[in-house]
Amino acid sequence: MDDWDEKIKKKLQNDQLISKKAEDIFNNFLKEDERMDKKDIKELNSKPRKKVWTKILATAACLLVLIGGNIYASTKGYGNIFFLIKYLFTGENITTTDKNDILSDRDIAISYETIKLTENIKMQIRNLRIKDNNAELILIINENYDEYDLNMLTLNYKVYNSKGELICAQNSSKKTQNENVYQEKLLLKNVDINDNILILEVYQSNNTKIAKITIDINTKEIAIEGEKEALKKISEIELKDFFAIITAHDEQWTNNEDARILLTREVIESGLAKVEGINTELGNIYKVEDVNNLLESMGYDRIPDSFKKGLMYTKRKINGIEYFDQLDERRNFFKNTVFNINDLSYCGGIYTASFNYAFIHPSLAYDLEDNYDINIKNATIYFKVNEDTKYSTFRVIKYEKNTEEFIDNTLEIENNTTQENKTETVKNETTEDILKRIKTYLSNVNNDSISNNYNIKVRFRKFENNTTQKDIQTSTMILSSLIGRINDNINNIDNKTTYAEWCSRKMTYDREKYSMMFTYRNHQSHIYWGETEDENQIVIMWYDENRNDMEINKINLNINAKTIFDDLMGQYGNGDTTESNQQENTNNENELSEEIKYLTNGTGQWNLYNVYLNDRQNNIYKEVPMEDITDNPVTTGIQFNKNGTFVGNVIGVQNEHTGTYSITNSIITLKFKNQTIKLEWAPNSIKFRQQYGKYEIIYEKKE
Amino acid sequence: MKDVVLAKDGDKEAFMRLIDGIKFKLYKTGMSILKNDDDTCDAIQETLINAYEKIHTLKDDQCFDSWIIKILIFKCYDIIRKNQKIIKTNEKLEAKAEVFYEMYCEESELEIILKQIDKDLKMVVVLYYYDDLSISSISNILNIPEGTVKTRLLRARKAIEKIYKGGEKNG
Repeated sequence: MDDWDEKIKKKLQNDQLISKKAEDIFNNFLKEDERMDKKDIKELNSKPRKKVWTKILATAACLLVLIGGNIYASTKGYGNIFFLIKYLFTGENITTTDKNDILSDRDIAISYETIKLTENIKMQIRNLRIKDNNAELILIINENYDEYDLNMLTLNYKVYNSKGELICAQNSSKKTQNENVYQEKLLLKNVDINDNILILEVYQSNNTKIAKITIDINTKEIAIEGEKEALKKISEIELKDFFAIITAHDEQWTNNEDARILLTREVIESGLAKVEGINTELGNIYKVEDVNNLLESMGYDRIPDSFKKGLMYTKRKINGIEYFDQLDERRNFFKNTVFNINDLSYCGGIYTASFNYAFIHPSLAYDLEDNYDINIKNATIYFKVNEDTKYSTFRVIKYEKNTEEFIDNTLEIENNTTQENKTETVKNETTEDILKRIKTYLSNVNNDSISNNYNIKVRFRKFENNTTQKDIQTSTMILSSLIGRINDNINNIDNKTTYAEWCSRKMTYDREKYSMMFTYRNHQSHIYWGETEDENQIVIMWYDENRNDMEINKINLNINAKTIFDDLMGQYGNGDTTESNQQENTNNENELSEEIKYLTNGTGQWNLYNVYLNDRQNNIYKEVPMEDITDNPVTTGIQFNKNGTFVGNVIGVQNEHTGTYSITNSIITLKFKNQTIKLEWAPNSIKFRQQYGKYEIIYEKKE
Repeated sequence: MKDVVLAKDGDKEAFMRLIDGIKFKLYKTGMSILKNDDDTCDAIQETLINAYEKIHTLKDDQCFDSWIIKILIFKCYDIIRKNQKIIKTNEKLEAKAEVFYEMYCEESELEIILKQIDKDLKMVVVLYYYDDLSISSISNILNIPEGTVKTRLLRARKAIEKIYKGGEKNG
C-alpha cells in the first residue's frame, strides 16, 4: 500500500499548473509598493455587517406581543396567553394548586457552575427539561481555541440513569468551527421522573473519555468523577523528584529517543517507577516494553519499533525478550534540584505546579560557601495523577519553561543535604571533617565511624585505541596496580596535600594549577584534570563506601598513564609508613630503591601495596583485603619506578569460567608502554588474551 | 521551519518564501473545492492576508502547511456560503460546490481523478496525496475522526487504482 501511495503522490504532485491570476496574487503579495500594515490588513479582514432591520423589527414585535400577552394572562390567573385564548373560547373556570396539573412540561434549572473539561473547553449544565417520558439536558459549551487551532475537539455525549442504563448517545451539534459558545441539547429517552440522578459522560470524537459527571437533579449537585480522589495528598518529595528529572530533559523530551530512554532509566533508578531490570556487566538493562509503558504513563511518545541503535542505547534480545542495552555506561545524567513548589492548583483533573529549580553540580556542594552564582530557573508543569501508578504516578500534560534568574549563594535551599554541609563547613577543617563531609554528601548518611586510615586503590585502564571515549567502552580492561594506605599523618607531615583534596574542586598550595571538575554518580566519580573538562585528562575514582575505601581508577586517553599518576600522587612522596609488613622483594630493593619516588616516607621505607587484577568487562572483580589473607599473608608490595614498571602480587582473582573465587599469589610485572598497560610476565598463569578487541583475563590453574 | 520562525517575528521575506513553497498546493486545494479560478483567487487572497496576520499564533512551527491549508478551506467554505446564503453542514458545502463547476484553465491528473471519484473522497484525496498532509492533520482540518479519514483513503486508493489500471489498459 505504501508504494502505491507514493506512486499516486508522485503522479499528482507533478501537477504544478496555476492560473496567471493566482500566480500574480502570490508574487505580488507583500511587495514593496503594495506593502500593507497590519492595520490595513485588519481593516481588510473586517467583514461588513449586514443589518437585516426588517427581520429584527418583526421578531422584536412578535416577542413583545407574546411576552405582553403572557404577562397579562398570568396576572389574570390563566398561566399563559394560550390558556387565556382557550378560556375566551371555552369559558372554563379551572382552579388548581398542583403545579403538575398545570404544567405540561418541567424546566428544572440545575446549575451555573462552570466545569473545566480541558484546557480549552468549559461547560455549564444549565437545565433539564422534562416532558412526559422524555427530557432535554441543556449544556452550554464554551470553547477557547486560537482561530485555526489544529487540535480542536469535537465532543460526543452519553447519558445514563441511576441504574446505569444508557438513555442518550449523541454527537455534538456544534454548527461551525468558529462557534465559541454554543448550546447542546441532549435528548434523553424514557426518563423516569422519580429518578433524580443522571450520569453524563463527555468524549472526544475518537472515543477518549474526557469527563464523567454525576448530576443530582434534586440537590443540584454536580460531581466530576475522580475529582475527590485526585484531591487526596500527593507526595511532595516524589513530585519534586519527578520535576527534577523532567526539567533536566526539557529540551529533548519529545524528539530524541535516546533521551527518552535515559529519562525513563533515571525515573526508574530514582525509585519513582517500579520496573525491574536485569543486572549486566554494564549496569541494569530494562525491557523495551517496560520502558515504553513507562514513557506512555508519563505522557511521552513510545520509542518506535524501528529503533535499533542510538547514540547511547541499542536493543538486544535475551530469551526472546527485547531490552534496551546501555552502550555508554559512563554517560552521566544529573537531575536538577527542585527548591520550592511555589504554586500548586487543581481543576478538572489537571494539576498545575509552578516551581523553582537549578542544576547543582556535585562539586558545587563545596562551593556554596563561596561567592558562586547559581542559575535559578522557573517552570510550570501541567500534570495528572495516573489511575494506575505502577509505571508512573504522574503524567505530564504540558511543560513550560519560564525566564531564568540569577541569584547569589544566599539562596535558602530546602531539603537539600548540602544544607548540612553548608553548616558544617568551617575554614581550616581537618582531614577528618572533610572526609566526613564527603561521606555525608556521597552517601547521604552520616557515618560517624569513619576510620582514620583509608585504602586507596589505583587502577589503570587499558585501551586498544586511545582516541575516543567509545573506544574505551569496547576495549578496556581494568588493572589494579596500587593500593596505598594513607592516613592523616601525611597531612601533619607536610601540611600540603591531603586525600581529601583529590576530591575537592578547589586545589590549594602546590596544586593550585590543577582545577578539577568533580562529578559523582553512584559509586563513581570523575575528576577532570585541568581548567576545562578535558576528555583527555580524566581520572575516574570509584568509591567503596562500605569499607571506607576509596578506589581510584585512572583513565587516560592520550597521556601517558605514568604522567597522570605522577600528577595525582604528586606530593605523596612523604607518606608515612603503614602498619603493613615490609615487602619481601628485598633482592630488588637495592636495584630500584634509588629510583623510587612515590609512596615512601622520607626514610626510604617501602609502603606495601596489594595488587588486584581485575577485568571489569568479564566480572572478574574480586578483591581481597590484606587482612583477610590468612594462608599467605605476606605480600611483596609494588614498586613504581621511572621506567614505569610495576612489580606486585596478585592477591585474588575470579575464575571467569567457573565463576568461583580463588586466592592466588603471583608476581606480575606491568609495564607502561605507549600509553597502554601490558602484562609483561605472569608466572602463575595469569594471562591476558585479546578477544573481540578487548582484553580478558584467563585464569589457568597451575598444576 | 526556520522561515516559519522568522515569519512569526515579522520577516516578510520569510513569509513570502513559505508561501512560494506551498502556492501550488493552495491553488489546487482551492480549485478542488470551488471549481472556479476567480473564487479560488479570492480565497487565496484572503487566506494569505489572514495567515500573515495570524502567523504569530501558530503553535507548532512544523504544522505551517496544514495550518494554512485549513485557513484556505474555511475561506472556500465562506465563499460558497456567501454565494449560497444558506448552508447547513460541511457535507452540503461540498455538494453545493458541485453546482458552481466551471471550466478549469487546464485539466490536470488530479482533476481527472477528482472527477471520477465519489464526492466524499475528494477532500481527503487532495489533502493526502496532493497536499501531503498526515492523517491526523486531515482529521483536524475536516473535523472527522481519523478512522473515517483512513476508511475514505482506502476507498479512494481503490478507486484511483481502478482509474489508473483502466487507463493503462486503454492506453
